[in-house]
Amino acid sequence: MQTQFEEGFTIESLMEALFYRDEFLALASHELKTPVTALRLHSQVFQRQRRRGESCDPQRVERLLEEVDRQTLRLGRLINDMLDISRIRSGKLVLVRESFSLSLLMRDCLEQQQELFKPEQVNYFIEEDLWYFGDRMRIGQVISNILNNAARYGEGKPVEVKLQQRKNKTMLVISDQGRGIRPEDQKRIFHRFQRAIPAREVSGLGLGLYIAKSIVDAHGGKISLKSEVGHGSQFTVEFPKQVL
Amino acid sequence: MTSPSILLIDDDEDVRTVMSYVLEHEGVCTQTFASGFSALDYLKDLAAIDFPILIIVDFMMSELDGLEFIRLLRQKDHGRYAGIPVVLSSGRSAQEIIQEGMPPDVLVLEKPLELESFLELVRSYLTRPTAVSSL
Repeated sequence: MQTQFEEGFTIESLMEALFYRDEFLALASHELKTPVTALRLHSQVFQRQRRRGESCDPQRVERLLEEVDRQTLRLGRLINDMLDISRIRSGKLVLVRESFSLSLLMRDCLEQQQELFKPEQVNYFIEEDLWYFGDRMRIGQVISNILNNAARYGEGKPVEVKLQQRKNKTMLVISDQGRGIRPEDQKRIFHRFQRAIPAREVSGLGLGLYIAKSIVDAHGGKISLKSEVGHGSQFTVEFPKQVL
Repeated sequence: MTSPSILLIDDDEDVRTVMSYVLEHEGVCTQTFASGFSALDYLKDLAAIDFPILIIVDFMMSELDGLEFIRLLRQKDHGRYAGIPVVLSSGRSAQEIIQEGMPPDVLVLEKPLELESFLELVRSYLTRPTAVSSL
């Protein structure tokens, strides 16, 4: 028996929403504590050495400072993702539009994310001179989030990236050959707090695809998914053609 | 026979690196693994006398989470590794993990780790008489 509150809401759907919110909070806690663990241990070791009067190797100090920088950057990214969710939900995701080379942006994103992949794992085709009028930083975020997804769930197998113009659209297609996503999970993964794989099995907040979809929607585009369990996933981002 | 060692299993490279550094700096040998499966592969090639004195495994990991790793460790190869003490590291509290079926003899090291508590825990295992499997 379903108890109807407002149209579309039932106790069951609210319970499910609460479940996914609680799972997200557990994930967020884990993800935030991981860089804090590294930061804390590094700083405590350093303090201990100082208290003991041990000499501090300058190279060790340099590495410590690099580590502090890296972990705080990591924390910053996590916090930004959570802030983006808040902005999206309150309708305050503001796009700063400019004309930019989508082809160059794609190359930049691939270069920045290359450490996530094995050497030569990514095969790409990028049509040159594709320009776009939109929020360059946010579109970069979309690309990075989907690449990140391919790295995380692609099981180290080849990833294909294609950016090209097709009829009246600019299309970005990123395909992996990883574990794939069950049909019942495919619609859920673009939702806030939800993911297709149990939280304990994969680290990460599970916000990337929700944020990516929100950004693409805000640009008047479309993001879609084809996937088969055991055969990988293909994400397609379509941007309508623009007159620049 | 090699020196007593500790296995560190965490899918986060930064955490593995810093935990290993901390222990190695205190003269404790460590072996680090990004997944429970690779740690199990490592163990199967060891003679019982060379087993680690402690395994510290992260609770939330890809492929195989900490609790599943403990279950596999204790069942595998007719319980050959069942005598190796295991500590679970997690950003969640022991009370929360107990509800997910954590064995009562497993301790939880809560993240973010506090250095002195971490070292004290490790020292307590270094000074215990080792229980070597008879298999």
